[in-house]
Amino acid sequence: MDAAIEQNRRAAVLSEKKNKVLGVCLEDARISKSYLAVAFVALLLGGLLGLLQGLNRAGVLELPAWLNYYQILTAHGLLLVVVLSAFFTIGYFYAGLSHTLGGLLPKVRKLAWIGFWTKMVGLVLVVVPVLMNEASVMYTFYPPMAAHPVFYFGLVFVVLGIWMLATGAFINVAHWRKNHKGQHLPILAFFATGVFVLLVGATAFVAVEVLFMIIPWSLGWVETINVMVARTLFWAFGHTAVNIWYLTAVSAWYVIVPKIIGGTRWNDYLTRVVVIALVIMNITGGFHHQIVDPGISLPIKFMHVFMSLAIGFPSLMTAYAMFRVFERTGRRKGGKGALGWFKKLPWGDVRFLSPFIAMAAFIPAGAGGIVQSTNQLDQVVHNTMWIVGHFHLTLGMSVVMTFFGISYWLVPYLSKRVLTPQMNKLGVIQTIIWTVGMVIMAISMHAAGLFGSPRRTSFTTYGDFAETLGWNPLMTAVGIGATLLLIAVILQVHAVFNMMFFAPKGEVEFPIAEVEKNETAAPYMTERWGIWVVVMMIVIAMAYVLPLTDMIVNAPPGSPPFKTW
Amino acid sequence: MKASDHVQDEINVENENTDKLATSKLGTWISVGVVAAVILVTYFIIFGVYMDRV
Repeated sequence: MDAAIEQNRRAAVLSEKKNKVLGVCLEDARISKSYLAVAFVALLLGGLLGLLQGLNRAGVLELPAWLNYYQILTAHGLLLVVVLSAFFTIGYFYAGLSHTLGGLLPKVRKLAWIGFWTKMVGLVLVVVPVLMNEASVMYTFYPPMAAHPVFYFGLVFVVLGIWMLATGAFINVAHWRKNHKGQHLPILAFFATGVFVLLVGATAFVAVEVLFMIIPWSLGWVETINVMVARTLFWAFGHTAVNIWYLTAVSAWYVIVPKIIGGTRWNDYLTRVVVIALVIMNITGGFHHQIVDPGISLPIKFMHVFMSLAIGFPSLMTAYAMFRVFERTGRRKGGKGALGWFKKLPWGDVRFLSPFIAMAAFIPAGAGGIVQSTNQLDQVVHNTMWIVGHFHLTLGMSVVMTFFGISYWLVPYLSKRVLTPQMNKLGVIQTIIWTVGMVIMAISMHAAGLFGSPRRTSFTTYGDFAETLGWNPLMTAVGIGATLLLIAVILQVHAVFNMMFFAPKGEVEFPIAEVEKNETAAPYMTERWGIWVVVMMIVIAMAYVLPLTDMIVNAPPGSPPFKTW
Repeated sequence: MKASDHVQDEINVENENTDKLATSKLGTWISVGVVAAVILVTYFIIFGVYMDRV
């Protein structure tokens, strides 16, 4: 009996070593591939629902009586903002942890699988009430709109799954640090640590909202809910979630893109400071979503404008770092003059083209974000189509196009297949179609918003009121953009599953760029995650203790649940 | 001077030139300038709309 156990153990160790020699641990790859598969199925479904919305808002598609506009809006938001982004982020970072830390620990693998299935159960529980039109509360599920309680139980399972995955990541990182005392965490694992810290921090707020406020209220155990507190807790999560997906994209910009263009990373110290800054300052940005909410005093709003704008600094540092990498690499390849280096970048490589366009999109997207974080200027655009255009630029371009770019090397790497020239060409075409579609859609949305067109509203001519009829051409353009985007979605999903199951067998690298040869190492202080988490909590306390206390102590009358659809 | 020394000198000069080019920040500052311009233009446009509407 003992001999058989020992034989099995040796076989397992041998299998693990073999996988490492081949460059990818197959057991770890299976975890990442499962997450990526769910992410891209969500993209397909979410994209289809997006087209239905786009055509409805364009006035060319009347939805059938059994399909509510707000139902598909809810599903579109959840599938793309929560499922696609969260599953992709976890699949990508778990692949990164496995690759850079010498494989996942067996107990971490177990946690990853339990987390996966917990999230899947949660997802089903969320989706069923949405399909039954019992939860058309949209991605933000603002009270006093109340969904079926099962919807909220599903969210609890999703959060539990995320916590398991975060725990797994922390265990793996701690194990590596124990065995590599005094060494800097590999940069991709450093980004992963920041992302999982933020995921825990952000979901803690939404867990409190759902567990202690919404579930008792939706089950009828309490009659009313404090709407302001619920909104505040939601946005501490909602804003951070979006920034977590952004930080995931940023990790690829700093770590992967330099390698793909044949260069080196620029300034490891700056990179780590950017991660730390984004972790510390992120959650406090949530309040700017409530900048026109009543009941929040002006000094608190002023503080939150400052705290929200602070996130712009690490983003500006990123802009400088990226252009520095591009210029240095382009010049080493023979680029001359002020901008000759630009031509030397590998424009025909989808693994670069897609993330580059994603970065470029973040310039207007970030500028729009700065505007929206400013108290007075937000009043021009708040709750208009401008906001929808803004997050289609930030998420739909900056984040998702980076994810697309990553998929063209990560999926072949995990599947032990290759990116063929034909697939690369298809990827370039897909990138162009997506870019054109998203640019048309985002510009039209921004413009419609400036003219006053509201967001989250199904098609209406407002009784043929002349002022609002002027929005129609812009909304037609939104429909055209949505059509192009669905074509790009189909190409992307085809590419992912082709690379996962059908592309020619072979080996591709996990492209992690090295730092410049003579670069001074970052101070070890950057590795003190305990300090950064404490600082993050202090900053969160500065931002939230006073307003939340005020909202609870001087609470307005609570609200019973409403079903508005 | 031996031929190999001459070749080595040429390589050294080329390396120095490449390093000088690689350390140039002109393109980076132009690009970052574009970023700054987009932020400022966006801000002033919306500020103009806001002032027009209050």
